[in-house]
Amino acid sequence: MPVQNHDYQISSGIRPLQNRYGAIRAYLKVFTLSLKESLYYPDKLFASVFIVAFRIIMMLLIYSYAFRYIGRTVNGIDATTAIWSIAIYHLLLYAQFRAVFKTINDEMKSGALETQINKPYSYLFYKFWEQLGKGILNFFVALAVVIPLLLALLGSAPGVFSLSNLFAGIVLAVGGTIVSAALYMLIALPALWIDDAQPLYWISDKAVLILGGSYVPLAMLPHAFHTFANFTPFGAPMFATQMFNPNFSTSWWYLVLLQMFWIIVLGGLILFFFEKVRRRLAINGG
Amino acid sequence: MENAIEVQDLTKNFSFPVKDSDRGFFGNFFRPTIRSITAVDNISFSIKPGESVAFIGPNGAGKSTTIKMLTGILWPTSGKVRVLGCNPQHDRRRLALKIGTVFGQRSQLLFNLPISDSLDLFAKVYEIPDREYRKQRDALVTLFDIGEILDQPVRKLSLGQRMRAEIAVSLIHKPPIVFLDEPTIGLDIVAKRRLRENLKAINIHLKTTIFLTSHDAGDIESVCARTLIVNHGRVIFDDATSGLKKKYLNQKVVRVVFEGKDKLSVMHADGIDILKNGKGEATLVVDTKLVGIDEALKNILGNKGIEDITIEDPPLEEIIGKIYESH
Repeated sequence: MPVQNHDYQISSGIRPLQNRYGAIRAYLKVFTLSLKESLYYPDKLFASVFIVAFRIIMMLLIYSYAFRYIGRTVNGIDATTAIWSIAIYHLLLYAQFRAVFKTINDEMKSGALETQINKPYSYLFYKFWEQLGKGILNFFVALAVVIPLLLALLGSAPGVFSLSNLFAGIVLAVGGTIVSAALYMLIALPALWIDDAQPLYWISDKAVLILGGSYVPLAMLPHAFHTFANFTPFGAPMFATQMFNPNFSTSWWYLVLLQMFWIIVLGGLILFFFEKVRRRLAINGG
Repeated sequence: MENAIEVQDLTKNFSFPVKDSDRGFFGNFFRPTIRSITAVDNISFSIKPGESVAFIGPNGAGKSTTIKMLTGILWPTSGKVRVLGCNPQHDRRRLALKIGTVFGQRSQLLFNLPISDSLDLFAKVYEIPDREYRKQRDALVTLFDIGEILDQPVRKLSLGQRMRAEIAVSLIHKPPIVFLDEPTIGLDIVAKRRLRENLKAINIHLKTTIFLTSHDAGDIESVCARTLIVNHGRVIFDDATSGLKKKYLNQKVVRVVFEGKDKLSVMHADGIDILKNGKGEATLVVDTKLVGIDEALKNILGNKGIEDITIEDPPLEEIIGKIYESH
């Protein structure tokens, strides 16, 4: 279109709404667009679901054999409970926030965050909603595949399972997702001071892997691990995996309180360090 | 009228640790040697609303650092900055609602999604009422001619198409000022010309203040009425772009065409430098500080069989290069 025609009518100075719901609408848009983006790669989605299902089937075979061999429960946990607990860990892993570390770490190192830090939103909230949008579809697709698979292979959920346990498990899963976001965002921020925050990621991720019960449910580990899981932020992202434990119906509220504690502490630390990051930012070519 | 941009004694130092081989691992880890460089050194300038300003300089001169301080990305070490009455660092969100930014080497678009989704997102981010958004989007789509590519994922666009989309997105909230950091980098001649026309149009018709950094003299000549040149973190020139030639131009390029295959015969005089001479054509550079253009022409017109003479200014690029070298 030749510009000389001026067949456009744009004027300067829209007055933004700036009402209290404006930010919420913006973040919901970030969420829906991320969700839409994840639909663009169905092959990736189905490959990752296949991997989850494969891992769970492997664990099922190993635990069935091991429990048949020892012939008793371990700390009140039988093979069925162990496998359900491990399955919940791997399902949650999909909705959670490990990937947000890589995004923030890369954007800080490359300076790409300059296109977002000068926008009228919080960079950290943007990343939260973006990652949630990316992860949630994976989670529900994996859920739709894994739960029927487990019911078909194991017959039923563990005996202690109840609707109230399910409700508490969902509350802990949501809380765990927020703790996970806070944890992985926090360990990405030092990328500004140290050349690469990757070692911090490895340490934290392996701690979550062990204390969250990725391959061995927490209930089967020595008591010291329980203490460590509760009083560090590494166990909190995966408290929902404990919903099949024998004493869960009496202890879940305690786990919710611990998650709330970690959300407040980690959230405060992120806001504090992010302000430091903003002030010290040095961007390539700048 | 209040200035759109007000910069006073602005300085930015970057500090970073350097490895000292004598200190060993722990020495370097716990007490590293810190080196500091001054990227922007005490600069001051102001820009009125509606101006189009080129902020140029060689690599490492401090242009991008300045633009990033003006847009609230970087914090200054010292000095004062006001953009549209806001302190970019303390009023970050308030300022962000009023400005548009384009960084030529980075994208603010959603890479895997169509341009229309980026426009929708920015409409929500800038809290634009739906009706106004639709009107503005349609106008920008027409102006930047992106109607046909609106539904294409950003990753499938050419660089020229992407840059037009980047600028369109940055204008969705009708900012009174737009900052562009090398917007034509990597574009071909046609795409550059088109983008320059668009920028000129928004400056003239919308009175949008344009603050542009570029290494391309064409961007500066076509879009910007005023030029600020920085080097080593300091402002070394601040005047009308047309004044840039007047002030620094002391050379004229003279091209002479002969009938047949004659050669130019000229008395070698101080201030006349023959660059090319032969086969019916000659090119000379006249240093007007040493010899007047009338005297040089008299000298040339002494030749027989001259068919044509053209006198040109050297390209702006060359003038800018000389300014960089002399500072």
